[in-house]
Amino acid sequence: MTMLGRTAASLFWMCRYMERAENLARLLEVGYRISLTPGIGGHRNEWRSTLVSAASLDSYLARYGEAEEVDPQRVVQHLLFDPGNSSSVHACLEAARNNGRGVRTALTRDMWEGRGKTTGGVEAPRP
Amino acid sequence: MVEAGGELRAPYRHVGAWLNEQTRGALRRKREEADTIFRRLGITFAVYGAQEASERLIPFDIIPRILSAGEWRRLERGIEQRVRALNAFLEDVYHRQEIVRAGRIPMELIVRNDAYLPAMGDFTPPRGIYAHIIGVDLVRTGPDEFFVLEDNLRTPSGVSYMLENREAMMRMFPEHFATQRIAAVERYPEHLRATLEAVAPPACDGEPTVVVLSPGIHNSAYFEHAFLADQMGVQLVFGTDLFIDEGTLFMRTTRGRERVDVVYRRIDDDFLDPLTFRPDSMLGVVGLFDLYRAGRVTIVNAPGTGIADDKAIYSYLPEIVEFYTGQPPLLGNVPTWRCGEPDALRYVLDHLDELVIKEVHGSGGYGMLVGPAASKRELARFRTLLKARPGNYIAQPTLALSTCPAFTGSGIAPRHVDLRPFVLIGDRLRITPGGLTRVALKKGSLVVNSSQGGGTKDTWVLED
Repeated sequence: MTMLGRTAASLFWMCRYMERAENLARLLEVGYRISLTPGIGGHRNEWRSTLVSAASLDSYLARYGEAEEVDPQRVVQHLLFDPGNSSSVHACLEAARNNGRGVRTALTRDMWEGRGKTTGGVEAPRP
Repeated sequence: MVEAGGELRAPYRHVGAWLNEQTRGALRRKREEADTIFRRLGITFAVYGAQEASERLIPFDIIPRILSAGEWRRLERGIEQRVRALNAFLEDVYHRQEIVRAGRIPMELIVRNDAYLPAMGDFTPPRGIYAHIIGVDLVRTGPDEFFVLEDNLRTPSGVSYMLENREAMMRMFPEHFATQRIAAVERYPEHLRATLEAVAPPACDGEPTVVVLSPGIHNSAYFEHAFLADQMGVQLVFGTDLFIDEGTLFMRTTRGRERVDVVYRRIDDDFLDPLTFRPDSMLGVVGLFDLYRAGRVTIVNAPGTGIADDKAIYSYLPEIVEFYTGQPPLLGNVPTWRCGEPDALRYVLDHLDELVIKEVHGSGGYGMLVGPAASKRELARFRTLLKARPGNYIAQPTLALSTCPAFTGSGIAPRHVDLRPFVLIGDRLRITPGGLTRVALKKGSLVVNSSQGGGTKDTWVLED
């Protein structure tokens, strides 16, 4: 059976969003490591550059406003869980999930379950 | 499961004995096992209007509902007679309307009905079949008494639950299937495909290409659309995957366009084709209906079948069966009062707290009143509604629906059930043995619809 054009597109985007989610998670990890290391000229807040790398500085500022130093907790929240940030890990996984739903019959059962487990697992932790 | 005298009815002999041996803990573990199986399979049901992420499982009860071979044979005969009459009625309604000329049904009931599609007039679909896939809702009120509660001829759903329920039961209780002869339901997708291919349009030469046309991932029955397409080995398409060119329907594939011959559509008539029906529809295909009338594509079920599953027409079913088959109906209707008729309205208003009132065009268990269970305020409200638009309602007596044991929070307890066998009409007429049993999970409740908290059971038809 040949593949629908839409199926091919959705599969591509599903995987691309998974990639982005993973890349962003790594980026966050790097940013976190750097923030633990004293930089040139003393301890500096590297979180701002993490936001810039993630193309999320504008959305962060729109949400939290300008400040002398960005708040690490908020950055993590914004980049990981914020559904309002279209580049967040959560948003990417949601997009991957929705792309997957539309092409359900093109995914193997393992793929389908894995998709559900991963995307279902990323929710902001409750305090 | 038990007779009036407390004796275990014959079909339940094995299961009854087995149930007696189970502890609550064991049954609970089995139910958790079922939940896991269903989650893995991803059978979810989206409820419109639900606030949170709207995918959830339909509750499944692990205790099967069992019918004997003899009981089933009697039901089969009645179902077959009924669906043949319904298709004959549809053919008549869209051609000479003999039944109206003979004065058996008032003309207004048909032409004023929203589901009646004048656009289908004077057109005969392949093999003269209008409703290829039908779900007949049955209830049992006595050891030998079944009534048809409702017919579903538009886009009946639930067959995927029937199939997955069976799958889950076979995994959890293989010993039962090994020791009893339980009629198989697994061939439904195969039969469905054969049915669809059998009604290929006249313009189709060679092997027909079938697709399942879904409104999309946000539709509450999306799982079923994907499931059936997958099981049949055909494409699942959305309207945007299809287009018409040179009098042919095509789908867009990675290798260019491919012709489509039969569309199993799970989209309502209204949204099928913005050129003929609702112009604001984003779900259908522009020009599909014209192509259909030109005999270049087949739509299943045909547009316009809703006229036959309307609750107002339902009350005329006995006449309809007799008119087209020459026989009295083998399967009865629930006695129904048409509130649009003054005498009926008077009776209904006098007995409101004993009756079930339903909207003629309602579905899913919404917009109805269960008299005996209603508060004074609800009764008063319905009284007003009835007086304002009597023609919008029918009334039926509350039936003593049969119950079946279910594994509830407080152990095994009786819960009301209904039954939806599925019928396929194409190259042959086939009825799934059993079908989907829906169960009202709340104690004493008569509402089995999944959108209102109902659940399902596997249905076993024992072979002789």
